[in-house]
Amino acid sequence: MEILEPIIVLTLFASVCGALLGFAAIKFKTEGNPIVDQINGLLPQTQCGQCGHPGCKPYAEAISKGEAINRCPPGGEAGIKALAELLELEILELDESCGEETRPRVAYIREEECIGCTKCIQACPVDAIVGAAKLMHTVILSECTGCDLCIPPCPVDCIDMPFVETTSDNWRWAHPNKAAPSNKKNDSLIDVKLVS
Amino acid sequence: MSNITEIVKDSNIVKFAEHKIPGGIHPAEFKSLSNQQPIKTLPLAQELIIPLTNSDHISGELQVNIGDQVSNGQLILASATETMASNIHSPCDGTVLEIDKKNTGHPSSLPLAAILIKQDSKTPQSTGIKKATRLQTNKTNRNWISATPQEIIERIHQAGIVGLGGAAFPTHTKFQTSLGKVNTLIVNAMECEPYITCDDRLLQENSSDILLGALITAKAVGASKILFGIEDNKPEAIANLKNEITSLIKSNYNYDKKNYQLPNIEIVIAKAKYPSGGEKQLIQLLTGREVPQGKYPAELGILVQNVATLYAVNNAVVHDINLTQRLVTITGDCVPQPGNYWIQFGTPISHIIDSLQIDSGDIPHVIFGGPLMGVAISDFNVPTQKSTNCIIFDSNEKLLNNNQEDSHSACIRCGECESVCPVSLLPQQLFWFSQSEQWEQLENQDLFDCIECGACTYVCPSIIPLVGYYRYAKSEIKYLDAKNKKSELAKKRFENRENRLAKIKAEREEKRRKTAEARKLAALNKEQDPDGKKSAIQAALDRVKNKKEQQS
Repeated sequence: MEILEPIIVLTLFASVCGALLGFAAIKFKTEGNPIVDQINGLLPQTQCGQCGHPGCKPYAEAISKGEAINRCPPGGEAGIKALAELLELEILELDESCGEETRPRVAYIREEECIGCTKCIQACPVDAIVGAAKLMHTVILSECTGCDLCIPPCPVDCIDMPFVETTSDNWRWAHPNKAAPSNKKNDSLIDVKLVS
Repeated sequence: MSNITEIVKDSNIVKFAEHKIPGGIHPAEFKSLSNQQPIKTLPLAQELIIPLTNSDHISGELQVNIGDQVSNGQLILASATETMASNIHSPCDGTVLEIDKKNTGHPSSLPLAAILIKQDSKTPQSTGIKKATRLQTNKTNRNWISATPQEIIERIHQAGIVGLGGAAFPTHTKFQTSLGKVNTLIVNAMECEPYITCDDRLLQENSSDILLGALITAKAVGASKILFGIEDNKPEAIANLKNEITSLIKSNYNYDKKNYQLPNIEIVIAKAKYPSGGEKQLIQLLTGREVPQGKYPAELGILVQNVATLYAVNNAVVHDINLTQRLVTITGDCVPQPGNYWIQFGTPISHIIDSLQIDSGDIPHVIFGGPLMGVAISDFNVPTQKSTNCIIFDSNEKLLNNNQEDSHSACIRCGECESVCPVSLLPQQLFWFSQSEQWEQLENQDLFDCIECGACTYVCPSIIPLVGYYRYAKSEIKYLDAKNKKSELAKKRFENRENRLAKIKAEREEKRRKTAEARKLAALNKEQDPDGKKSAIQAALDRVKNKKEQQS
């Protein structure tokens, strides 16, 4: 009969623990997959689809299921490095079949040529193009991610993708021990006229 | 320095600073090059380039157009009171030739918005205006005593005054944020950087105006105490200022005693040491208190103003003169007549070279500011602006402390930089982290508290451009922050769009389902009642039934 006491005590203890764990599992349930959110946080959110997925989040989900981390050209080398660090993977070279890493760019609609077909508006993954049917469209520069997705649907090819111009606002001090990057004017830049 | 001890002896106005700041250096001063000559006025340039902004945006409304005739002191850019911007006035009589982007001395040498004015030589020297209005009666001199703080601040805003110590922060904004919080006005007359002597010279010749400016400022922000902080290497300025204060206190009866109480005025002398003229360093020297991280001096009840700013305040409030010129130290071994000159804003360097016969043939760049914190300018079309307190024309290319070298020796961990840092940071750690681009560590090490004074660079035996590394790290961190913010925004907008599209799709599905059901029902009805007679009879019966019910 001596054995009964520990059995009861242990059973009670186990059931209390079980109840607590069960409660915690319901109460503190994590919505979604936290690792996907972490990966998504490291992706550049250009939503360009160069990785073959319809946006950054789907790619983050694919990575969490084992897809290669080197398929994001806008994220570039720094992005791959950050992903490798997070997932404890080897640093890879950028997969060139997806595209090349370039300087940041923005879409620019040549407004006099725009026919107002709204096709680019539908293609833009971040709603950065405004306009209405048969009316001129334009890009909200501060919201454009430079993803290129508006270019193929345009029937009159009136969208350019110039590099983001270096201005006094986004200009950065050069590394003191590397040759200073030239501030040469790029030919593909838009000439911004002064609004007085 | 026996002179100084004599000034301080038996005086209750002048005293020595009781507190200290950590670190600091004692570079060769080169001040006697330019502080012995009386102030002169530089002849007006033919064409003046007036910068409209220091960034990509013009915060204000342009008041002139190309071809317009402008007069000296006329408003050309009106800023709103609430913005962190100041009014800009024409520095001369003339015609607006261009409104365009020009190199105005931004460290990136990128062109920024500016106005080009061709001076009209028919009118007399524009600088004459200062003296003409100066002769006004004492009556106007007293107006400020009955003025409300808001009236004084508004006048300062109109006159386009900014901090002339070098930071060019709008003075009216600084006053506005200090209003009601401040009990002490500290006047910054330290001028601790080598070569620069414009504040020294201004005090030697115009200390009464500066004193009046200080009184007006104290009245505007409600300060009951004025402390002049000055280094012991300016005995003439201290003596002059002391005399002015003594006679002011004696003549206190001239002021309207009912409405005005003279603040308590003192001169505090500090041992010359760089960078004791930094705003936070000066407060620490004079009061022993440190401005908390991320806070403004107003939190300690203190407002700091540079002497040149107070001179401009006096000009604006008492003489109604808008800020269109400033005292600039022109010095260096290439200048035959180094000294301090009144120079209109917008005067190109090339004009200064011509009128002072400066031998600029061999120098690759001039230095705007001092040798420790200044910037190298190699385009001689760059104009002077409100923040330009000194221009150095020197044949020594290495004079500029922070100038970027192509290569430097390795850090030997000697620790010299740590002993001279006035903010008690660990410059060596900051350097290592900047070099290895560990941004988070840099923020933990309070990189953003660095005032970029250059003391660490000055003492570094390996000639490492330390400040260059800190500037690089700061701008990289800011860039990455902006990039993260942008990608956050893109993520949110993408998700919003996905949700919206999903909702539209679901609604469409629902609609399709409903129409399909209706069609199915109709088809079923048709099967049972091919030519619709049954339903017509049923409908008629229903109508009769309804009618009967209504009647009864």
